[in-house]
Amino acid sequence: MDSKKKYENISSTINVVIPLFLAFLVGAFFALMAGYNPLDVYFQIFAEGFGSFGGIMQSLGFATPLIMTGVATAFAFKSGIWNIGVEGQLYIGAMATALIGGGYFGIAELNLPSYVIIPLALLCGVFFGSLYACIPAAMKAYLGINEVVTTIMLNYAATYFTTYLVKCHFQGSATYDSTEMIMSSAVIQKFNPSYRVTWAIFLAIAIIVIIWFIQSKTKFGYEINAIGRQLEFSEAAGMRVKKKIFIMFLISGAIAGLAGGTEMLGVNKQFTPEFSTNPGLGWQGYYICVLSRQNPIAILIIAIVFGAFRYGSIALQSKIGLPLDLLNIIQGVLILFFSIQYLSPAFVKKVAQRGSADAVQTVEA
Amino acid sequence: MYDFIVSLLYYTVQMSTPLLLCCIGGVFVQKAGTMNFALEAGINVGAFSSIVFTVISGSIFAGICSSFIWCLVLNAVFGLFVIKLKANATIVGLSLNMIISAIPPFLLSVFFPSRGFLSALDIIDLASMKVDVPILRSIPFISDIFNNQTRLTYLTFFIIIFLTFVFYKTKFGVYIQVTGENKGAAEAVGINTNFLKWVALAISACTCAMAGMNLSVELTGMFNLNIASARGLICLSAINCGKKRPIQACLFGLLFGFSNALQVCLSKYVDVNTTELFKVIPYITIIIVFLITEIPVSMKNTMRIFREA
Amino acid sequence: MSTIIETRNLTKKYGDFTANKDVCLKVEEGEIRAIIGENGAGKSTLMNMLYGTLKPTSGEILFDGKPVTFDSSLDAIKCGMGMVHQHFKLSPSLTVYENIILGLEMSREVSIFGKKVTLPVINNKKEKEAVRQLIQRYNFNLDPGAKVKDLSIGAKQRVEILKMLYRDVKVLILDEPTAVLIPQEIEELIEKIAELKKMGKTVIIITHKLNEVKQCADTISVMRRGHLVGTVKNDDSATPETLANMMVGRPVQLVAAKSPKPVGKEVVLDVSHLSAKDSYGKAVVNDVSFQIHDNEVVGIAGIEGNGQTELMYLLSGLMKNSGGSVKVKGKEVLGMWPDELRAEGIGIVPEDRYRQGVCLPLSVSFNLISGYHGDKRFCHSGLMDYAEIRKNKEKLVEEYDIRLSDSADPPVEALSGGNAQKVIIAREFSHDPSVLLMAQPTRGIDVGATEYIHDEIIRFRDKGKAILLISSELTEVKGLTDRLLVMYEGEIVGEFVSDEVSFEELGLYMSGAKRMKKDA
Repeated sequence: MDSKKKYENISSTINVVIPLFLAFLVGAFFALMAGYNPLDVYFQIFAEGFGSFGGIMQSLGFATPLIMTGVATAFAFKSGIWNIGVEGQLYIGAMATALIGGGYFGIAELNLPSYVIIPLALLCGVFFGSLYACIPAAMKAYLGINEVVTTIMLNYAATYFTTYLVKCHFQGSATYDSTEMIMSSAVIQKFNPSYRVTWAIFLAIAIIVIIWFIQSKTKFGYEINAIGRQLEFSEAAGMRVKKKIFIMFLISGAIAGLAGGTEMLGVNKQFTPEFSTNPGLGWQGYYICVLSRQNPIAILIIAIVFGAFRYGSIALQSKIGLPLDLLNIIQGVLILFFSIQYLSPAFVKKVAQRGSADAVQTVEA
Repeated sequence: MYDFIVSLLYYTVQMSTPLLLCCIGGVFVQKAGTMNFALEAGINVGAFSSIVFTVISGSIFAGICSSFIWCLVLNAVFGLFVIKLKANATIVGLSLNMIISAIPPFLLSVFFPSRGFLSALDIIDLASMKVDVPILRSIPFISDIFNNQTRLTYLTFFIIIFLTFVFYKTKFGVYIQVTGENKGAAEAVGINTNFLKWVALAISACTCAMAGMNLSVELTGMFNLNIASARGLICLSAINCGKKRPIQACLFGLLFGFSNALQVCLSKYVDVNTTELFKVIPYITIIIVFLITEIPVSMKNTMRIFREA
Repeated sequence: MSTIIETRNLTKKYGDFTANKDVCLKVEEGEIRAIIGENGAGKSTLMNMLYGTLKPTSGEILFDGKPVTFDSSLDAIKCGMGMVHQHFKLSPSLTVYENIILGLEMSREVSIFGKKVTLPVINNKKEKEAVRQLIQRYNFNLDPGAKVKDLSIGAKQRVEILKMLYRDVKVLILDEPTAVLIPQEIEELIEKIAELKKMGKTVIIITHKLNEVKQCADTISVMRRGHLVGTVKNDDSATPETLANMMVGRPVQLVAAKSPKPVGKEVVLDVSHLSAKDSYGKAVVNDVSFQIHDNEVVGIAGIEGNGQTELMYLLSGLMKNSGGSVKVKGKEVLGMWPDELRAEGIGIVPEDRYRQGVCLPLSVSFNLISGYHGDKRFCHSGLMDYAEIRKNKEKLVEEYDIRLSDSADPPVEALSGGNAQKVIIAREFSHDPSVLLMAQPTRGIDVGATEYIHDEIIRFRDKGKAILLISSELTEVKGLTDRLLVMYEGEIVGEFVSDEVSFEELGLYMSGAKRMKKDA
């Protein structure tokens, strides 16, 4: 192996292990504070999430939207766009899908078959998700306004706006704030009714593959690569940066809308204003995006791990009353510590060279 | 109509207070060249710790002290990562916001009866938080707007004047300006720019703590999970719209305070469900202000290269 | 005269790379010392070590005979050494006096009950007065109350020099002081330096411009590849040619030989009445018209900031125009985007190499096709052909002698400035454009690469191409071109046959002192 590559690998492994360790350390502190044995808690979360077939199926169910929000954020991130607004786009997309799937606007009377109504509902989610992304997209691309602030503002606006729509216009027959249940023809089926995972997971994996293909094989992907690194260069090379940024944002919003839609049709089966809180599917997508460094395979793996942790924590919450917020703290701390480079490849090289020649050879072998 | 305008202006003053506090402190950090998304976390920490320690100790004074301390700790963490360890300020700021929004519900659900809020109303007498100022009382109209505001509202007025003076007329302020404009210029004459950034963070911590206290101790007597509701980010927008200058940033802060007040005042006239729609107003205001301030700039821009505002 | 600065075996290493090796420099008090060398020869490293911004790996520095160690530039200033950087360290929104006093602010004092109390407030009046006196003492032409952002480049440089003089330094280091000045301003600067010498100051000038060195220096030290290869007295034996030999280590041709092939008849690039405004509404390119024929190189000279950059932006599709037309072989191309322009056969070598020319973190193969990445050769129905891109890289690296570092396809940031520029040259030349737009093609690169690029330009011209060359190196634009235009405040104020005009004449046009009448 190339020796330079080797040092890079060593340092990047260390740069992942240290934040993980520190995050769990901070988590342990909070667990102890609440009177739980942290090792026990971690073991149980892991056992719940990965320990059984059922657990894995549940974890995959939780992971499905996270894969999509992760890809949505990471795809934009690649070209230097911080789409923190995935959360809001997901809300709008979910709302749109829930209304179509719920048979509003006279759609129920049409008695459309599943193979029409499901794509139609999801497409609506995709359309409204990307429509909502248009606002920050245009502001970023054509006016140069920082998208982090605008997207977060629009997240708030989206939750309040959808809440208003539910309360005032689309209240279903339930006693709490929600839309009508999704029509049975529009439901995305689960593999097994007792587990959370639905066929939508294949959709999520397909999106990862498509995005990977776009990034690594197409002209658009070639341009994204440059735009993410050096805007002025990309413009001088004729890449029409503004247009590309706008399109990237829309695609990101579309995937976010799809994530919301599949949650509606497969899992929640009705829109409730709280369906994605604490800290929200979009926010976790941002975490996954940062941790994965936008690598598609890493997104898949981390999303599944996050899904497992989520399921494990929820199971533990009902079992021993451990607050779910502990997981959120750990995730936040993990990102925080992940933002630092602990070791540079150059440093590893220095240390390795200082060691005896034998030691270097062992590493190489 | 008169009543509506008066109450609108009264609420504008009231709701601007935390924004102005947060803005005037944030200007220093922002001008020194650090993007501080953790303002949001600062307000949350200020609000949460002041109520928690008031409840634990039974004394508001203890709550106030702890509020300052914890905000300083928070900004120290931010500084450690961003200034000392050179991490990406946006990632650090956003993750601190996330961590801080998860810690209160965790602690509340472990140690207190409810996960969602913590009330200190049996210790804090809300009525006594508002001050009746004799000079203001006698002036008609003005008294309806400015009298019977909280102590921090009046204090904010003086803090803004003081910090603006510091910004333009003292060495520290001038050094902060130079650091933001040309870091090399400051360093070439031996100015320790990192030290300036630390001081700026400390100032911002104190004003954030006050903003948080204003929201929790003075106005509601309790903490709830949505108490900051993006005020930190609104302030960040105000600072950037005001081109990182104190007075201009505060004017934008006032504008956003006004839109908050508008939401509150309009909500009295509609049924409870429609109020949800009005909650959108402050956030949409920011989007509109961005558009108004940036569209003319980009119309004039003759370069085709993508440009960041 | 005594030795004021001495370095003993000063060495600086970055990892495996040695930037300075055993440098032993002696500077006498009250002399004007020039330190010359190519880019990357280690001049800046040496000065930064003297000035405390870099820590030497080994060796020692003596100031006034005493060994010193500087932790920061502040220590150096305290010791009596001041440096004027090439990129000015000024705060644009502050005034001249605020910038000069920065770091040494005067506080306002009040007397309370007869006691003097210092307030933590700046006394602007007193500061302004102090700076006014300083300006008078050294006879500089400056307004202390003006904002720095409104000053010309020459004036900004004077502010920087005054900033150091205010700190009462004995030694003044000037880093590439003439890089951005016009001939007349350079004269003025050289006079100022002579005056400072009379006042007893020691001046060290770092530069790579030999003519100016000849004019003002007492002694000249030459650096090459991190070594101090020699110090000579500035007398008749030190000609620009011998100095250049010392710098490069072999005989060099300072100006490329022109081709005897005559200029063609066909108009390839036709620019007429081209205008553009900047974002403040100021006309930065004003009614510019010129034509370039086949087999012709046309140069544009001018002080930086007189519209050359904007003209280049306009022609390469990065700026909006406010009137005029640009035709390539009769076809209107104004308003097209860079990708369309390249498709029309216009090659672009941008001024800012690292912001527009190459993308530093990306690979050489990537950079060798960017701009032409939509070309049928590399891209079939939206999919990139990476095998072809690799082949293209191998071919061009060979053909244009681009020296890659150890790996096969490194990121461009691993290459030297000269090789990075060769990547751009290879990319643009290999697509055989009919018009070539070049701005500052040899800025900041070593003599070898410069010679190579100059030869390529001449060769390319002889293939029947039209070339526009914008450069602030007067010797370059004058030496390489057939015709020369001078730009001043966005307008073309003079047109010359390159071989028939003197530098002095050009200087007058560049500074706006003279201008030709425009034909109707």
